[in-house]
Amino acid sequence: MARHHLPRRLAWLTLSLVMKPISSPLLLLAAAGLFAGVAAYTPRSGGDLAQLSVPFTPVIPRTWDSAAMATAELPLATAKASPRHVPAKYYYQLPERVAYKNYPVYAPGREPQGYWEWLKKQEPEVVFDPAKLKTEADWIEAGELLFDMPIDVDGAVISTADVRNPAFYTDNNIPLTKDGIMPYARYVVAEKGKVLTGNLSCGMCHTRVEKNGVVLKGAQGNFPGDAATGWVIRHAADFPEPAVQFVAGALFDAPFVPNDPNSQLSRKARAEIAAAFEALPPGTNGRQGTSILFPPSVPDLIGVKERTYLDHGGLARHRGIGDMMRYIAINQAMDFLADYDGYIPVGVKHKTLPPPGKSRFAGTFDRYSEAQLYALAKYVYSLQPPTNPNKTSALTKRGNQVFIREGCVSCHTPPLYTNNMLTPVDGFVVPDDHLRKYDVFDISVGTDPGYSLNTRRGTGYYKVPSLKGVWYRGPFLHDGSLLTLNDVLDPNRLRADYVPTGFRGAGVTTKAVRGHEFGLELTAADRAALLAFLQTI
Amino acid sequence: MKILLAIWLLLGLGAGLLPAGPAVEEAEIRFQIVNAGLTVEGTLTGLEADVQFDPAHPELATIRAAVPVSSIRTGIGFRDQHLQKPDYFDAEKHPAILLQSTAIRPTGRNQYEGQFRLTIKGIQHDVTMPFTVSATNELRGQLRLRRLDFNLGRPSSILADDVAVSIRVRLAKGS
Repeated sequence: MARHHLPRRLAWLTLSLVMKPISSPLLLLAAAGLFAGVAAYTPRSGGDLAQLSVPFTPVIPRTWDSAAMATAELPLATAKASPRHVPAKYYYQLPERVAYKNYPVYAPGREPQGYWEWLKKQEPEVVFDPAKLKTEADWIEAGELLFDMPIDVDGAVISTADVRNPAFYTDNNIPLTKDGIMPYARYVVAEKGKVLTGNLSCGMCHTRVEKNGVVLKGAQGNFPGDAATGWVIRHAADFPEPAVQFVAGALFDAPFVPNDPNSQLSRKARAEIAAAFEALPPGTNGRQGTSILFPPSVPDLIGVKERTYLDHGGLARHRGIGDMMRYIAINQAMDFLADYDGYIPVGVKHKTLPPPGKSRFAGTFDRYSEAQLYALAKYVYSLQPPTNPNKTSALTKRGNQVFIREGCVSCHTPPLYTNNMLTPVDGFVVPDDHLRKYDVFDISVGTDPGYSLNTRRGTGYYKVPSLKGVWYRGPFLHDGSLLTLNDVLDPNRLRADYVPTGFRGAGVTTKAVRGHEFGLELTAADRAALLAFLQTI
Repeated sequence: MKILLAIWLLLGLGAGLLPAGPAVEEAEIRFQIVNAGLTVEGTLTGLEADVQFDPAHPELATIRAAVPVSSIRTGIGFRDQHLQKPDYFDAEKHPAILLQSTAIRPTGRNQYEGQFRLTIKGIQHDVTMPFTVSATNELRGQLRLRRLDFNLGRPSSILADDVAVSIRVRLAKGS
């Protein structure tokens, strides 16, 4: 999903914090159903809950700690262009975000009667107050609120007009919950009488709606956000071509890359840029600093506490909760203000920083508070997978043996099903010092190196992904080019006339999906067993 | 008896740098390592050895052997390639595995125990290898080593440290 600020940005005013009780029983019912947002399936044992309910005094790391920041990220594949983030003084001069209560967005025709009018009567309410958090469970619960909190209410991705337009849903195949909620955006009331559509919450990308309408928070999201962005580009009257080009450039340009294909794209006509966005299938995401030419699949956050590198390229190190806070702060969205060898994506003329708080680009004129980041990280750490319906059987046991025999375990090492290492991509020579500094599994698996060499997040590596939870997610490979695990093991994918089942790029009809060519020569029986096993982990 | 001996080795490497001596009729170097509970077997080929061995005077024997890292095979080509890399054998810098005897003593009829200096990835360790020499000029030996002693890979929850190595070399008659 693209993350950007559109020219149609609305004013976001500071408001009264007074809240009035809900007076209408009818509205009370309607609200109670989905105020809490979308219930995710997050099983947790009674013992865990008890442990989380004792008094808790958090030790909150300093996010923009200069020493920690200096080693928080790997250098880029083009080392001289490694991001230099804003100084701590600048960062802490940014105003803190205010967490206003937000409300579900219903698809047209599914909204409870009187809901919209009821929203307009609501007083703004600040829902995050660290002084009221007494237990670890309190912090996690508060973190969930922040996970769903939009950091943009100016229409950075989709607007109120979009989410109330039936064509937006049908044209983009927007998944809905059983209750008709579109869980990727939220209504925000920051001023009584004004209902704004909020974008760019963590949940916008990291929420998955299964076919049965069940919501998995934190899982590989499936909001067709890039398709939606393409749709907006084609339909929004207030999104002229220069603005489209500016946004695409701010999101993806990597001018330090020779003949940067992203920069070439952002100079093309509006329709071509829209087509490039539309080429991304659900489950992939043209996040800032990546590319819609080499998109990443959306990572599954469930289990992220055990990952030692974050991002597909392993850009960010994850040495503790402080690093997770840094990662969130950078991605929401301070990296727009980083200096990439003289290029600042949303800097003044891409050259200099705007005064703190004066940037007009979503996510760059304010910041999360330290307590907000801590709560967010605690929530992300707390995410639990849904109960796996696939049980162990003789077939899956055989599949496990295939998994071992074929050497899958070397990279996808149990119990995490990743060795938490980085594999270099074709075309990247591992510097000697990296072997000492980082966890390098020094051989390429031959997947498309585009993301890792041609983007602002490209390190020259791909992180070995965990296979945990593959039964509930997809598409697969770092670029989401294969929709199912069966496709991953399909030898036909190496053929030039193969039609990729996931991402293939705008205008591409057939394309070989090379790399990670393991298990392609298995017998049918072994493959079936391996697939069955993978569905159990 | 003059023997062309050979070595052996680990998890999956391989490449033949050195020509095998003409007196070696057959050489087999196998290794085993447990990975995720499953025993992985591998081989090395292309060994070269220079052996001075008189059964009547084993204390005077000298054995020098080398085998190319590039010859390592484990049944999975990708793994074999990876084993050549710096995090494993670093074949570019250390193309051969070397074995040099420092002392050999008899332990029974046709049975001996050799002290060897083993060099892998430029790291030397002394190892002990019992071996036999048959009337058909066949030498068989076994030893165990720890891969982490030679900086081969990293500590792992699934890949064992211990590696079992077996060597069988048959020499041409009269050699």
